[in-house]
Amino acid sequence: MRAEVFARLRQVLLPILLLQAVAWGGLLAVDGLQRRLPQVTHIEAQKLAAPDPALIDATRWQAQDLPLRTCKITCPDGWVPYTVFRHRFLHSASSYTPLAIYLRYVESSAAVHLNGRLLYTAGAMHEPIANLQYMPLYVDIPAEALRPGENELLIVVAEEVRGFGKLLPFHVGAAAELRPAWYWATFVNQRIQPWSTAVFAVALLLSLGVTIFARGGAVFGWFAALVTACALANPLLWPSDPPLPALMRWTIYYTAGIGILAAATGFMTALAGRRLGKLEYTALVAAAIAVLAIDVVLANDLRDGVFFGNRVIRVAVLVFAPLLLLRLIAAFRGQWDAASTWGYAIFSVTLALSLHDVIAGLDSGFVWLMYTHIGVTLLVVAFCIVLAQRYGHRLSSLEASNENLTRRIRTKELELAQDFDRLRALNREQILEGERQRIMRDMHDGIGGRLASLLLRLKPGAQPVGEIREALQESLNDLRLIIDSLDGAVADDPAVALGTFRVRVEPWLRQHGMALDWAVDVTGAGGLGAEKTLQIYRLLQEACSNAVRHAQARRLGISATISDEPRKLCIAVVDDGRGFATHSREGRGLGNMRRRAAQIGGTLAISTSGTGTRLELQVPVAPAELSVPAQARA
Amino acid sequence: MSVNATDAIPARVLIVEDDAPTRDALCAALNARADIRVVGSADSRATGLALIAEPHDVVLTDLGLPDGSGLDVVRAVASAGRSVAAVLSIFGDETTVLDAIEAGASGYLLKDDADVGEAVLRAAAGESPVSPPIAVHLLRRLRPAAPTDPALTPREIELLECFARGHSYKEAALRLGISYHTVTDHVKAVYRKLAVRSRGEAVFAAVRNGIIRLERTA
Repeated sequence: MRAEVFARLRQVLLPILLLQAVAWGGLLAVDGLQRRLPQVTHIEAQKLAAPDPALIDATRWQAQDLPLRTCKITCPDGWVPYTVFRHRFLHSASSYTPLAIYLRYVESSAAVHLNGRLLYTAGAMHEPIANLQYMPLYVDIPAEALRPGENELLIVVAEEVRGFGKLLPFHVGAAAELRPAWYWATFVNQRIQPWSTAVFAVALLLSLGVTIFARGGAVFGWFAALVTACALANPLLWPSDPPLPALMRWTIYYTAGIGILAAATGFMTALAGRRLGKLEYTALVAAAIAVLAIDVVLANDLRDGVFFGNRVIRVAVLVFAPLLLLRLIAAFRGQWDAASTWGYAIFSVTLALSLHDVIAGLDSGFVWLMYTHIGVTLLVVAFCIVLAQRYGHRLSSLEASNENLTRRIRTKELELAQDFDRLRALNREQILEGERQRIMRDMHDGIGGRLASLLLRLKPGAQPVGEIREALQESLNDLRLIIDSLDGAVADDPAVALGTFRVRVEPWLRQHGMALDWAVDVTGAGGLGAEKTLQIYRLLQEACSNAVRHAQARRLGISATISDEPRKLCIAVVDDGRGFATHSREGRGLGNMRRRAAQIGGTLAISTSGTGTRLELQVPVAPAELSVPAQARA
Repeated sequence: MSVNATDAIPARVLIVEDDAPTRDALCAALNARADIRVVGSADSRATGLALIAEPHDVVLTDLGLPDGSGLDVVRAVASAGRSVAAVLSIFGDETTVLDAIEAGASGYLLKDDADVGEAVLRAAAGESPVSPPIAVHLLRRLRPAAPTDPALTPREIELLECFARGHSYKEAALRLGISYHTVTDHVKAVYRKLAVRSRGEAVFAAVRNGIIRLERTA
C-alpha cells in the first residue's frame, strides 16, 4: 500500500513540481515588478464618523476645492462611515512626466482628491451600497492639477467592507509604470471573469449531462453543484455590474460563496470514493444555516449583512479548508484515481495561487482573492478534461461490454436455435419414423401379402393369367390407396378423401360391369388423417371387392354423411348382390373389416340378405374448425 | 391444338419410355386403334429430345428416364407449342401430375389404364381426370394470387371444388350448368395458369438469385 502510494507520488510529483515552478516563478516575477513600483510609504489616515456636507454633496462627491487639512465631515443619516487617507508629496514642475495614482484595490465606493480637486469617484457613500466589490484603482493625474512644491492627495473610501481598516500600499508615480500593473490587476480580477463564467457554464452542462444521461454518479453530481455555485458567484466580479438590486447581489454572493465550499466538500468526498459521513453532513448543515443567517441579516440591514457575511465566509473557509484538504488526500489515496497526474498538478497550482493570495494579504491583514479565481477556473477545466476522458472511457467500455453482451446473446441464441432445431429434427424424426413404420406395416399387410401369395400361385405349367392379373391390379390399387392417403389434401378433408376413393374405384367397378351410385355429402368434417383414411379406404375397397367377386352385384351405392352429437362420419356401402352367409369365407373377411373399424375407433354394422348387403361404418371425426393439419399428426 | 378422335387423319404419337415391355405394350395398344398412329419412340431423355423434331401431334413421355427427367421433354414440346405433351404416370399422384402440368403438359394417363388409346386422346385434349387431391392443390396454389398473377376465375374455383369432391367432368358440367366442352376448356385454362405461374416463379427466383440479370433500359 505504502509502496503503491509512493509510486503514485513519484508519478505525480514531476508534473506537480513542474507546474509549481511555473506558477511560483510567474507569481514572484509579478510580485517583483509590483515591488519596484514607486510606493507611497507615508499615509495619514483619519476615520470620520460623520461626513462633512461641505465635502460631499447629497449623493456623490463633486469636484470642488477642498480645504486641505479639514477632513472633518458630518454625515447625514444613513451614510456609511468612511476613511480619508492623506498623502503629501513634492512635485517639481521642471521635470514633469505624466503621473498616476494606483491602488492595488479599494472598495468600489471611493473618491480621490488632489489638492482639493476631485479626480476619481465611484459608487456612493450612502445606502444602499450599490457596489461593494474590491477593485484595483488607477487614476491619471492631469498636469494642471499638480502644483509645484507640495501636493496633497486625499483618498476617501467607504470603510465598512474592508473590515481590517488597513489600506494596501498605494502608488503615486509615473503613469507608464503604474498603468501596466493596474491593467494586469484588472485583467486577473475582472476582465477574465466573463470567460471563467463561460467555463463554469460549460462545465455545468457537461457534468449535468453526465449526471442525468449517463448516471455519472455522485462525483459528477457534486461537480455540477460546485460549478453552479462558482457560476453564480462569478458575475459579481465582472467589470460591469450585473443589473441586480444590491440585496439580491449580496444574497447570491454569499449563498454561492458558501455553496462553493459545501459543494467542494461533497465533490471531494465523492472523489475519494466515500459516502458523506457525519462530519460532512454537519458541515453541510452548518453551511446551510450560515447562508440562512446571512440572508436574514442582509434582508434586515444590507450593511450589517455584508459585514456579517464577510465574517461568516472567513470562518467557513477556515472550517472547510482542512476538511477539503483531508478529502483531497483521501481522494489521492482512494479508489478514484483522478485519471491524470496533471489533474493533481493543476490542483497544486490552484493551491499555490490561493496560498499566494493569503501571503500577499498578510501584510495588510486582509486576504484579497486575486489569483484564486483563476486557480478555481483552471481546476474546473482540468476536471472537465478528466471527466470527458473518464466518461469517454466509460462510454467505450460500456460499448465494449455491450458488444460483448450482444455477442454472447447471439451465441446463446444460436445455441438455442440449434437446440431447438435438433429437438425439432428429433421430433420430426420420431414422427417420420412412426409414419415410416406405419407405411411399412401397411405395405406389408397389403401389397406384400398379395405379392407373396401371387408368387406362391405361380407354378410351372399352370399360369392363371386372369388371377395373377387381378392380384397385381389389386396390389397396384392398394399402393395407390396408400399413396393417396398420404396426400395432405386427402388427410385434411374427408370429402376429398372419399372423392379420391371414388376416382380410384369407379373405373375399376365399371371394368367389372358395375355401376356406382355416389351420394356423399360430408362437408364440415375435420380431417381424418393418413392412417384413418387408409383404413377406411381398405375397408371400402374390401367391401367393393366382395360386391364384385362374391355377391355378383350390378350396382354399388356409396353414401356418406356427417352426423352430429356425437360427430361422426357415416359411410354406407350397399350392393344389390346375393348376399352371403356370415360363417362363410366372406363372413370371415367381415371380421377383418370389423377389426379395421375398431382400430380407428369406429363401428361397422353389416346386414346381408339374398337381395343385397349393406355395410355401415361410423367413424368419429373432429369438427372442421378443430381439424389439425395432417403434418402435425403423428 | 386439339386432337379429335373422329378425324380421318390419325393422331401422330411419339413415345418416350425407357422400359421396353411397357413401350411395346403401349405401341401395340395405341396402334391397334385407327385414330392413333405411333410414329416414333425413344428410350431416354436425350433420344426423346431428338425425337420430338419429328412431325407429330402428341408426345407421350415417362418421367423417370435413365439419363434425366421426362419433364425436360415436356418443356421442349411445350415451348415449341406445335403439339401437346402428356405424361405417363403410375399413380396419378399430385407430385407427378402437378410437376408435369407446370412443365407444360396438357395431361397425364395411368400406365395401367384399361383403355390407353382413349386416355391418350383425352389427355391430349386436356381432359385428364382431375383427381380430388390435384384439384385441392390447384386451388391452393392458384387461389391466393396477387392481382397481377393469373388468378382463378370464380367459375374455375367452383369447378375445382367439384373435382375435389370426386365429381367427374360430366357431373361437374351438370352441377354447374355448363357444357362438357366448357369444362375441358376451364381445365385447360387452369393448367395453363399453373404453367405460366410456375414459369413466372422460376423467372422471379432466377432474377432474385442473380441467374438472370434484367437489363434496365434508360
